[in-house]
Amino acid sequence: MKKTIRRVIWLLAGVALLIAGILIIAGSESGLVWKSDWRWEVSVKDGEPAHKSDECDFSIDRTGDYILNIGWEQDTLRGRADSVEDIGFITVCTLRDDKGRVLYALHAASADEKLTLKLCAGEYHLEYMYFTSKEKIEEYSGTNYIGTAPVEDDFDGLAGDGSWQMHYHLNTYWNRTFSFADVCALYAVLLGACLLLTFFYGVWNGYRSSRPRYDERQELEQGRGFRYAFFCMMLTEFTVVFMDSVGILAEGASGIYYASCIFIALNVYVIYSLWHDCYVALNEKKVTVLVILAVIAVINLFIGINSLPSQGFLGPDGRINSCVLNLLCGVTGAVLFMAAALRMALEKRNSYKDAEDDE
Amino acid sequence: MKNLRLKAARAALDLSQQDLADKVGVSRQTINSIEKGDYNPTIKLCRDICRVLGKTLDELFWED
Repeated sequence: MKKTIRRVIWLLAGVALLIAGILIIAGSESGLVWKSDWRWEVSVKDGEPAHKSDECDFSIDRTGDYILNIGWEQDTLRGRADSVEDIGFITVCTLRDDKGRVLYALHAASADEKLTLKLCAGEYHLEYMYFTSKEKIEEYSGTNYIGTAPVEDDFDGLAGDGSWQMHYHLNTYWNRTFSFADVCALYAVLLGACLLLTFFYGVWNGYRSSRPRYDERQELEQGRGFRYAFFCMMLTEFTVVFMDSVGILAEGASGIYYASCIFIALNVYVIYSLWHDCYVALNEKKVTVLVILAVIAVINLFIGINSLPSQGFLGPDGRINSCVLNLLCGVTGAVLFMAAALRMALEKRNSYKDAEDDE
Repeated sequence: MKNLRLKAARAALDLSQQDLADKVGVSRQTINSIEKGDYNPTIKLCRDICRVLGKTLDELFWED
């Protein structure tokens, strides 16, 4: 059964790794998230565009690396039989965020640009401005960032009237590429999770196999022991409360008596269990229990006796000092050790007696 | 009431209380308590004891 569960865990881990691998490979390709095209018509009269700018808004749903393909191209030329190399004006493109801050700008020197930008989710504003001379561009760039490339166009290609339909486009790609380190980290996390799961499963199994085992009679007797200890504690607590209320106890020292009630109840439970052979579990050694009780008694008595002269029973605030608890623990451990030793000696004698009876 | 039949069946197989307890998975004191009549075992424990000693429930635990 344990082997089957372990196999299922490893199978699940394998399937998870496989799915993660497929997802990583699938996700490593750049995904087209957003695409937009505009066709704006720009009319030119006497070499000047009829309007100075065009603009549009777009939004991005989630933060990430985006590849922007931004630019313009001459689509059709009306009024002329042939196309022209130079349309007679320069276009400046500016990308701004929702607060008007410039994120990117380019001019005619790079009419088709592909760039990667880290963009947050939000609204963005794209603006195209048309200039017919270098001076006007420089005037504009005095207050607005345009680009680093120098403007060298003379804009002398077209001086006549006409209407051009320009094709402006902005393609936005979410760059979802995973690096090798990302993939390794993802696999490491998944593998670590599986190992942790297996580890905790092993710990749980170890705990189950090593926890104390008692037979039915021992559990029954333990229940009785708990009951007697509970009633004993209630009785002693009521007694202390009564004595405290009538002023028999020393003022400020009632904490010692209240704490003593708990230790008395503990003694009752353990001694009852020892006397009914239900304290030591089936898979425990009696000597181990004796040694543990002796160590508890010795250590606590040592600490309590050593610190009592310096600390005293009560602190300056009237509360009991920790050395009192050490003393109580030590006395309890000593009493239990003696009870356990006595019971074990009697048990040894009884077992001999039973063996003689059998014969 | 003492369970002498259990004690006799155990002795017949030359098993000590500790041996029987180990085979059944309980403490020696529990077997001792059953034989002395201080403890009434559950039907599950009775069956386990019968299985180890090769007896029926009636043979070991049924009062005549």
